[in-house]
Amino acid sequence: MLTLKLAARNLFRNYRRTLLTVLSMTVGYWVLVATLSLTEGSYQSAIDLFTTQQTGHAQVSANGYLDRPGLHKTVDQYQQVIEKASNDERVQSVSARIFASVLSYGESKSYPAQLVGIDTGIDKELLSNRLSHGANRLAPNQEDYYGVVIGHSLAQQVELGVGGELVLISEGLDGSIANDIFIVQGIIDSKYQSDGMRVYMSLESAQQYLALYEKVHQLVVRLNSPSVAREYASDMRARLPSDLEVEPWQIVEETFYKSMQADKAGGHFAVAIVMIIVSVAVLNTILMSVLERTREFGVLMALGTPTRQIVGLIMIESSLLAFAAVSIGFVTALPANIYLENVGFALSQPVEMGGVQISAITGQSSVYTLGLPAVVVVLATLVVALIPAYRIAKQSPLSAMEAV
Amino acid sequence: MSNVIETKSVSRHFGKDETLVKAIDQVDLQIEEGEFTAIIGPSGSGKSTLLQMIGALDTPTSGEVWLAGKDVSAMSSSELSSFRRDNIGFVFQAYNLVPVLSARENIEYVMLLQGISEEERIRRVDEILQEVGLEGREGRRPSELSGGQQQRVAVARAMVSKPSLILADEPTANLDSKTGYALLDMMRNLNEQHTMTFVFSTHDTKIMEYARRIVKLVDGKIVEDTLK
Repeated sequence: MLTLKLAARNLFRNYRRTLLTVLSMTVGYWVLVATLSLTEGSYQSAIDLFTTQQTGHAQVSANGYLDRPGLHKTVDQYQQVIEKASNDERVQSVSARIFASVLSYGESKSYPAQLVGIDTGIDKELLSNRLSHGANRLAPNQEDYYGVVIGHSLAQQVELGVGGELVLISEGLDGSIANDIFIVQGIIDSKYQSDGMRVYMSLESAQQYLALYEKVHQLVVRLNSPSVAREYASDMRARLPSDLEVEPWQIVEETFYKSMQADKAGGHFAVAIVMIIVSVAVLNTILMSVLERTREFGVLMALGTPTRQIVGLIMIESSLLAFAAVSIGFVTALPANIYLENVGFALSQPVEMGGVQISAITGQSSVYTLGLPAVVVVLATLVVALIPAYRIAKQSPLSAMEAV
Repeated sequence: MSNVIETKSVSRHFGKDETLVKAIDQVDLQIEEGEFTAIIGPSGSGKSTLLQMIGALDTPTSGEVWLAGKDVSAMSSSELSSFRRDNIGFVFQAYNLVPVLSARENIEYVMLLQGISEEERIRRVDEILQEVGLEGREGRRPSELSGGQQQRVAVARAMVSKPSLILADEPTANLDSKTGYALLDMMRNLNEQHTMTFVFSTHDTKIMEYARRIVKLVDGKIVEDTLK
């Protein structure tokens, strides 16, 4: 109690310095929160976009399809599988997809492309926001030609615009030659590079075209929370037939996941640098405030104050400073962070992160982004406070009292 | 009467070879319980160094220092800390009060370290405040007190925990002569009332007249020991 009283009063003794120290710690907290929030928010946006637009959070496919995709590796009776995979409260939606390699032919040129058949009901938003030209119309027209949406690069290669006739040639599941005419209804913007050579069509038209009746290649599962993807995949493996494999997005898109993890590691390095800068600033002020009172500590020791109590006094003073800084930092950073999370700020030029185009930077409010900086500031303060505390503790009362 | 202080051939040297300074050289001194002793001598005679060793703040280069029947030269730093807390009261030249504590809290400080109950602390502080003439000023911080008042608080802090020995290093050096004499008067009265041993250093000839015994140091050696 005596130590706490002394510590609290010492802080008010030189309130300007106390204010400056708290301010420097608070700024440190803000910088850490901003760094973590923006990096985590950006990663989360990229993961959300990637999983929503492409992989989903988990995928069901025939055994071996992920390692070596092939037209014949199909999920049969897929509606029944969808029913089983959907029967879980963690699931938001399950949609089917078909993939095939095709040769595309336009006005005068042919070019290889990737066909993607999508569920126009569940995946209706998949293409809408990504078009630079035309519309997301995959249904057949009056002449019974199905519509397709194609990538920007493919449109350039085969020299087709909206309304153009695209001829696709491939192999059907039954061994027949699959060839048909499709009408280009929309062209995906060039910024979506991974879609550059794709041809999107409805699941129904893809099944007809490739003779894949009641069969698909992939079931894309979207979950309410991406964090349960691994757990869901593991549970589902036990529930679905053994000829099917279920993998979370981290396995399905291992390259994307690893590039995210590598980016995150870089982010941690930046956080460590910020932490060191904050620690040096804190060390400077605490060192000054302790060493200028060396004589006073000497008197306390001469009166019989145990060394551990002197060290305790310095540590309590530093802790009070850190807790004040973290409290002020939290109260002020929280609304700013919520704003960043919900509004963020738009980038003048979209940036690519793991193959996904990010057009706005958003923050993230979580125990991690707001709590870790608090722990870092408090721990850094306590660690740097140990230095002057140790120096004082090593001195004799007499030498401390003789200090100028 | 038993000896509160006994030094046996105590020496304190600083530096070595050509720079060797014998601040205290083979000093034998016994001070009995209840004495009011002045250690006098010119600047650099070793008064403060001797008081520091008697106060267990410094360790002799050779010899032994016995306080209240214990050899403090052989104690560890934590043992010395407890020993000082329970046996020695200090009055410093520059008062050395804790600036963030009030007069009452400064006086109470050592008793808090000793774990004395709140009731007893209040009783003792009220009593000593009256004895040193600081009633009504107990809530003031050192910066709100005059030099003489601060030194009275320091004397009260030194005495309140009932140590066997009070050491005062040039207690009047920072005070004007009138205040200095008043402080010495007060210390002597307290010494008579409480039979507490007081040892103080001074180079002021008028101040040393308050002492009942005068130990004169020159070049680290006792050259005169007079009992009045």
